[in-house]
Amino acid sequence: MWQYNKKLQYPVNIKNPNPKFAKIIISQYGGPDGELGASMRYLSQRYSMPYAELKGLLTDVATEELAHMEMVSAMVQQLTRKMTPEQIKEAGFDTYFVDHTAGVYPIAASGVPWTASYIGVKGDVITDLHEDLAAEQKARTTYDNLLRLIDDPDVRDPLKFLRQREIVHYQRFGEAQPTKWNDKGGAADKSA
Amino acid sequence: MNRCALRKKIHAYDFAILEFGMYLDTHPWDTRALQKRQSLQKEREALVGEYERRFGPYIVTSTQVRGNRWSWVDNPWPWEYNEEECN
Repeated sequence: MWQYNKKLQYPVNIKNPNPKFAKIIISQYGGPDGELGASMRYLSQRYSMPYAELKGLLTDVATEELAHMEMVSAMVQQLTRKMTPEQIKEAGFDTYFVDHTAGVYPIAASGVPWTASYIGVKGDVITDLHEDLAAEQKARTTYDNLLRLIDDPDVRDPLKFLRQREIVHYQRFGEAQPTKWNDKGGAADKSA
Repeated sequence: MNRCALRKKIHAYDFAILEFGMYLDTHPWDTRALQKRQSLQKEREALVGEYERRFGPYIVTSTQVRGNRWSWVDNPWPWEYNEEECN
């Protein structure tokens, strides 16, 4: 189970609201390669993992992804503070605003709501680990793209942190080769 | 140390301990890493103890309650813009 630490993993303090930036950053909340998907993917995969070390790794990475989801949501919330109708229209934020006002909804920049179709849980340790390696790179690329499009240093700073974490997670999954583990730690099906 | 500075220090420890934990997930036999994590944990406990004595709960299950108020609910919450830049 989970407990909540009343903090962000890394600070988000954005002086200047900007709904244009919020429109694209929101993809790292509810988009195909966003933090919500990452967390749900790893939380779901861990149940069919045959090795204790992998259950631990998936649990711990998934928990950190929830913290990242929170950071992305904080960014969206701070970027959509105190908007005037003119700012909303000028940013093209009106199509989101009409349905969600200044609420933070799990959706992609394209307007597609989050869906479990974004994640893979194949129940095979090799398959799932490869999915995870790819997922971290896709997330990293998404942060690359956000950094290409955003120039505000208050916004870039947490984005750069989140991008770095994707790379670290990729390395951790890379180290998780099944051949070196034993299955004495868990009650897994030995035929898995 | 004021509240902000103390929180920042604890957050740094949180991060280091988390990083060690994730590394140890795939290297559980690495006793050097384990010992380093445990020594960081000890230093962190002292800071969290001081924080909770002075400011109230750091985590929702904390046993420390300061005064007659459940200050856990108090603003600011972490996602809110804070000019002080203290999280």
